[in-house]
Amino acid sequence: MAMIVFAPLFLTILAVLSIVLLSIYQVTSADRVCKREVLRLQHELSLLMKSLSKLNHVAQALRKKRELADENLAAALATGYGPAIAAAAAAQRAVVLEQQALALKQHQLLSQAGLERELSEQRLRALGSSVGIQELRSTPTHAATLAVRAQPITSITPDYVEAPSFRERESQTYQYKINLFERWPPWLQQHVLNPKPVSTACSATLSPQEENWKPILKKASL
Amino acid sequence: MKSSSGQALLETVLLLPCAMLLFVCFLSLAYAAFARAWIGYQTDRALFCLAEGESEFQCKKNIESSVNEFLPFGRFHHLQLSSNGDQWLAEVDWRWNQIRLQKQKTLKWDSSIWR
Repeated sequence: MAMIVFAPLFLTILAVLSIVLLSIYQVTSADRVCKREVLRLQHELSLLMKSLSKLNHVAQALRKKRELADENLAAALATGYGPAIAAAAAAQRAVVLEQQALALKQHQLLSQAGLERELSEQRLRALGSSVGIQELRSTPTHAATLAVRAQPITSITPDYVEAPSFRERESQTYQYKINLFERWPPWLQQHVLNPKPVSTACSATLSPQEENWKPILKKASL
Repeated sequence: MKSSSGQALLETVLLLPCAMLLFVCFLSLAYAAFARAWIGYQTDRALFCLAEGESEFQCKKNIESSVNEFLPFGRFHHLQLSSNGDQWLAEVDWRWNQIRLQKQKTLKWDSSIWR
């Protein structure tokens, strides 16, 4: 019976410990889900980046071929000889078609990158709701697709190279809030003085390494 | 009256050590539960630190200081952080008396590997 005296003390310690553990668990889970998703996205983008970069060699070869075809056509036009002009024009047309096919591949990769970013946000929104992530938003600082620039810009099939401030522009940042008191019983929530959700963020980008791009986490600013 | 106070004294003498023992056990369990959660959380933070491109030394220093700050009893017997391409690994062995916490975590984009 004398042990009953200690019951309030035990219960208080137990309650405080439960609250601390629950908070740690909630923050860790949300953080983990967000970082995992943002790393997964960058992994997908690194594959697209690699594929796009591989097409640069083909693009260069086609630009040279096009230059030659243009010169041949100009020379044929200068001669005024009909069959030569027709042959040169046909050859040039074939190169242009090849270029257009490659440009389609390049644009497809860029569009896929944009789609991956959108899908990632939707995926995180779905996964995040189970761990208490609220008010999720993606910061608009990043590139819409991949942080690349076309070089030369006038070509149908340019090389796509890393844009200036690549890491910054390639990064994807998610800002969100976690309500640490959401899972508390309502009668206990009433006693919380400041029940505002905690703002937090996660971010990842790609780190260029030779012919590869490695996904890395980035310190996210709120 | 005399016999009643004697009985109360006897009860106290017998129960106090039991109550103290129970209290110490309870506190130890509470401490161990907190240690488990805190070390797990700090291991995650250390992996994030590695994945942000910080040096292993710096991340190790961070986890050690955070753990020692909130867990005055117990210490690391083994703490290893390493990067392996696009995955980051942490091995932790923390001990306090008979309590031993071992954690092995891997951080990678692939969710199935993240444990």
